[in-house]
Amino acid sequence: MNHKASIEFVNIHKSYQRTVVLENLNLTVAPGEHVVIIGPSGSGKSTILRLLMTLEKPDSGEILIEGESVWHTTRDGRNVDASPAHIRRMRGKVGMVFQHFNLFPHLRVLQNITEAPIRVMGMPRSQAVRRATDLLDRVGLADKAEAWPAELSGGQKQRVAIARALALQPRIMLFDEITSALDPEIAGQVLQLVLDLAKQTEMTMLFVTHQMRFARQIADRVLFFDRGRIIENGTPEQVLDHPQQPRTREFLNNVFQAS
Amino acid sequence: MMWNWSFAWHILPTILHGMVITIEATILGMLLALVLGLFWAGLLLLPNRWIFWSTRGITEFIRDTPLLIQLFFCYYVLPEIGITIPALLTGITVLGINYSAYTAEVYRAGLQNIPRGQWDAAKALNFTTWQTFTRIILPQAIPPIVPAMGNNLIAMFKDTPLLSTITVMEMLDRAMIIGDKTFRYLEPLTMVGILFLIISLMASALIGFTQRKILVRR
Repeated sequence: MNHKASIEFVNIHKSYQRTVVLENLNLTVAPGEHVVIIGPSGSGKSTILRLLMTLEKPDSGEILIEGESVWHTTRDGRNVDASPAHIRRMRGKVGMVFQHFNLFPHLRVLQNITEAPIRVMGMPRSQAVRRATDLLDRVGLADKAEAWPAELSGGQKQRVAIARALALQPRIMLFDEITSALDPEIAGQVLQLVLDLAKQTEMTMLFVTHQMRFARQIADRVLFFDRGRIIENGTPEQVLDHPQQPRTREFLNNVFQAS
Repeated sequence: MMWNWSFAWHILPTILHGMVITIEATILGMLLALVLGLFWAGLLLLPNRWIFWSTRGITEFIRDTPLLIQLFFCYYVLPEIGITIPALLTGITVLGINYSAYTAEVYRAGLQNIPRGQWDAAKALNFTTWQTFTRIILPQAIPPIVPAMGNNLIAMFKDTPLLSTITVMEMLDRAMIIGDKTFRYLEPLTMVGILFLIISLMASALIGFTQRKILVRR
């Protein structure tokens, strides 16, 4: 069994133009751990996920996945920029589900799922189709394999997006506000699917969400994030029920009043 | 001056010969414009500012100088520095390069309409940049720009008479030769005009058909 941390952020700094998004961030996530990140909009929560997915590059600091640096390798004892091949290998360990689904509209549902396994992993088409069909069955959309994304509802699109990310069998899954664009009822169904999924796998999972009930159900640990810093870090009970910081209390009060 | 049908029939084969050259120049020129334009558009997407501005400079230069001067320059000036290219090949190449600056803009508009999330999702699924471009982005970017590309094709077709100025024996050149020999310009020039009209209309119809075909698939 792997005793290394699944994910480590070491002194990560990230800013866009003049705006500092992440400031000296340190974070460790254990293998199989489910971490929920909460916090106000624009606090840098999504940036953490985007950095892990290598959609963004940190300005400084190290991101390690299973003990290995994503952006650097050592050559002759020196720390040098990693090759594109290395970065792709690291990226392959991570999968991501987006707020706006981002399905490929020109591909049918099944192709949305099979395209990456075939092109990226070199999986034989028949095997990729079998796996995609299984996944569609798991997310309750076995009958939609031949549909176009435009023919699906928002909730169905998100289920396909989850199946698509799972098809590459990542070790780490990132969920970026996956129900923010959905009706509350539909959102509940998608979250239930993710809860079931989380029970069935040993994947490390990171969530950015505003759904506090879901956070409580799925999280081993909750992080409260504000202005690029982790303000509070603990079990769901500690952070959601007994927050230590005034800023956390204020945020949770607002959220619970709204819902 | 009266229209003379027997004269018109008599010169038709010569003009149709010219038409073959015209269509050949259009198709080959457009192929070049489509490939090269995509290349420019691809370069404009790269994050490197140096590449961006040099590409911008090249396409701006091409668009802001007259096609006729580009043709003259390549046909009459290049031989002076030892580069001699046959007239038709010069014509096709110059047309293609000239129009590539316009097709590049059309591609760019199409590419910019693809939401950022499509690039993100493709990257998250670990597609290479090339796979992302060819399998995810382009197939979405192309269908909406088919009409604009079609307009470029027709515009280029109507620019081919300029090739007569560098001795390419296309339709207009043949018509003028006939006119100079027989002192009858009415029939040859009318016929050339009508042939241009017919082919342009057919091309428009084909583009419309193609677009409907692509859109129905969704």
